[in-house]
Amino acid sequence: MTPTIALLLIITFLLSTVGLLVLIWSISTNQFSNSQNAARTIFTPGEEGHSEDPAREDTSAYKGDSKAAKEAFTARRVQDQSSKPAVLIWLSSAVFWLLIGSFYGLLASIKMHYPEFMADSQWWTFGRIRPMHLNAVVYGWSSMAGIGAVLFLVPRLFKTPLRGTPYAVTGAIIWNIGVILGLGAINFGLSDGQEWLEFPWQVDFLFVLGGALCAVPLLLTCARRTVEHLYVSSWYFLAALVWFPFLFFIANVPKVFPGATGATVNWWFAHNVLGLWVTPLGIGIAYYIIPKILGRPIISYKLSLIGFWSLALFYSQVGIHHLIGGPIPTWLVTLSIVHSVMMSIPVITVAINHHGTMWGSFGRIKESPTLRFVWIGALMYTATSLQGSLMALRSVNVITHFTHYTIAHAHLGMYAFLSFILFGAIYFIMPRLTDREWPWRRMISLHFWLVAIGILIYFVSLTTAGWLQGLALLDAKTPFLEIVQMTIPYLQARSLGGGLMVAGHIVFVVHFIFMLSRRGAMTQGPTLFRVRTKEISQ
Amino acid sequence: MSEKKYRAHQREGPEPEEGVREVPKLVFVYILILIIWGVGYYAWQIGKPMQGGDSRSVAIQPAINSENVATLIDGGAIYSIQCSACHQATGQGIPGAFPPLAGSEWVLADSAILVSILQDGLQGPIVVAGNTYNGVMPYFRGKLSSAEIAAVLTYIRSEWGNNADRIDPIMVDEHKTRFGERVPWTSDELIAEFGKP
Repeated sequence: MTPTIALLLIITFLLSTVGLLVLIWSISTNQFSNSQNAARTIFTPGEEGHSEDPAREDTSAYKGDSKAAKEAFTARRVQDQSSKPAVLIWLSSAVFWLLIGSFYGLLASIKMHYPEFMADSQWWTFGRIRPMHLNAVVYGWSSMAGIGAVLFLVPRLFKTPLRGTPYAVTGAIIWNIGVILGLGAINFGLSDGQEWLEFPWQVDFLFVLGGALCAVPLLLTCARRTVEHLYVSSWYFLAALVWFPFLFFIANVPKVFPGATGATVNWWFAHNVLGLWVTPLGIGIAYYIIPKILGRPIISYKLSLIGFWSLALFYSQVGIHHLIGGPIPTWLVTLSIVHSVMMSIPVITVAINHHGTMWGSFGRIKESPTLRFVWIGALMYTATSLQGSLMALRSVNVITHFTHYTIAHAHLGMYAFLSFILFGAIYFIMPRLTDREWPWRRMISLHFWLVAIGILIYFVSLTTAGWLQGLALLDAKTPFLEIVQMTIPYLQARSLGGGLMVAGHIVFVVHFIFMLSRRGAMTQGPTLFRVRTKEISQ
Repeated sequence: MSEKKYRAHQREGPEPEEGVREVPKLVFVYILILIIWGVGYYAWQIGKPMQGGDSRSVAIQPAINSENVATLIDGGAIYSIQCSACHQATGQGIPGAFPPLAGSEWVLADSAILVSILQDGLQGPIVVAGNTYNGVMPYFRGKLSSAEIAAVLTYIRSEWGNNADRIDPIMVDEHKTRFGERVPWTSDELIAEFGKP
């Protein structure tokens, strides 16, 4: 790298970072606003200090004891009714794809240590089912559940009913057709052949169309919003909905990016799906649910500003750290490494905000299923992101690259962070849409412990395997097959963890179907992890 | 409205809002440290190769055409670039797919056999150390110079416990004049031409 390139990079880096800090200072001190009070109309009078959990004796549940509060209650009910058909179809589809996707994931995992397993049929070869797993859980489960949660939260955040709900319903149908055709194409061997972009580009149009149809009601609702101040969750949701179409479109344009450029665009896209699409959805949901259930505000507006804007500035460049050591310009790799490490700024500020709000209320995760899933998800966001920053460093990457360590990291992010938050969100949303409680608290408990123990076994075994594998691969004298054999016990442990996760998903899906079809036990109080005597007597 | 209806809505807390707590000073200290680190990291990369690669990349040998510096060519480096993907760094090959070079009777036999295989390639079944392999060995005619072929053959004949004579570039040149551009050999043809290893 020449001094000129380094100097240009340094100047760009300093200008953008300082510019960002100035922007955050201007927003937080209201430099853009005519009125100092414009940003203060953020809550309904009389609502503070009440807690979501009615089982706690020391705080009074919010009963709508004043006229304004009663209006807020009615408005919230109307908002939830307005989004109900759209949210239900997006969430139900997501839950279905979760089951399909994790089933394929388990099969792929078994093939890693038992390659003869179902190897006779082309439909079940590793090269097809592994991308089917990835695409089903990313575009089927995560994206659809995320959009469903956004459709539910947006009317609440903007304090107005969802406009144009049928657009979102149509969008969900088209999106589902896209996932079916895409997975079918991969199963027939018609993959585009780049990780995260396997769906043939002809199918990708369906996602663009479905996503665009889904954006219509959100934009209409945003235009009619009755709040002056946008809560932090709305920033993340709106930003994600702007970023993702650009990413998806650019990366999927066929025949434009050949060779090493194609690899660069491939990883630019794949990492941005995580950082600029599912991460904002996950963080946005956590930013809503944690203060909502605790009944107290998120601790710092300024911290959330830093967290949001630094994510926006730094994330887009980090994907190239997947190509460290590859045949692409050194300056590009270096840029991505610096930005990967700078990503610890948004991570730490979001962590202070989430965990600082939780501070002193950790006991609540013993009772509330939603809070337990969401907070553990938020904690795993902190963990996986800091781990990711470290993995981008050349010295660490030289060991972890091309090993199972990366897979463990990816699942810590997509599963322990994102999926946990989505589980929590679904446990929160469904009783409000169907106006009935979850039938069985033991099913929720079983779901939680199966997936929590499953991902723990998964992460620990693959991380260990990956690190040992990486060290062994650096020694050219070690025969390759010896390394493969060394990892087999860990891969078997991964299948065990994966099996537990799939079992948890089956429990969750069965519970979800009972909830949706209004069967199962009818409970009066909220379905919490622990039975309170007060609840039983109710 | 009924007490029993919309229970989930009724027990709900306030819509979330943001508090006004100041950003901890430590966060700004951390941002400052990272900015300084970032500038330093960019500056530290000055002088590194422009086209990527890192400690895992195999060093590319400068092309050496002059025959009299043949001994300077590193056969081991050529081996790790051209051969080790199949025959492995250990020379053990992969059972059932790629034959071993360590202790292989073909490697240790008449040097003309090895020169032929490398120069023209090899196809069809071949028995190595009691096991039959059926694959395709590519030819290196035009891809490696005579000196490079001699260097890498000398390398595999002296590594992993192998102990056979070194091969001179002149032997490769003699093979070229004798056979020209030949189709890949089969093991039977090699035995017919040079005798059983």
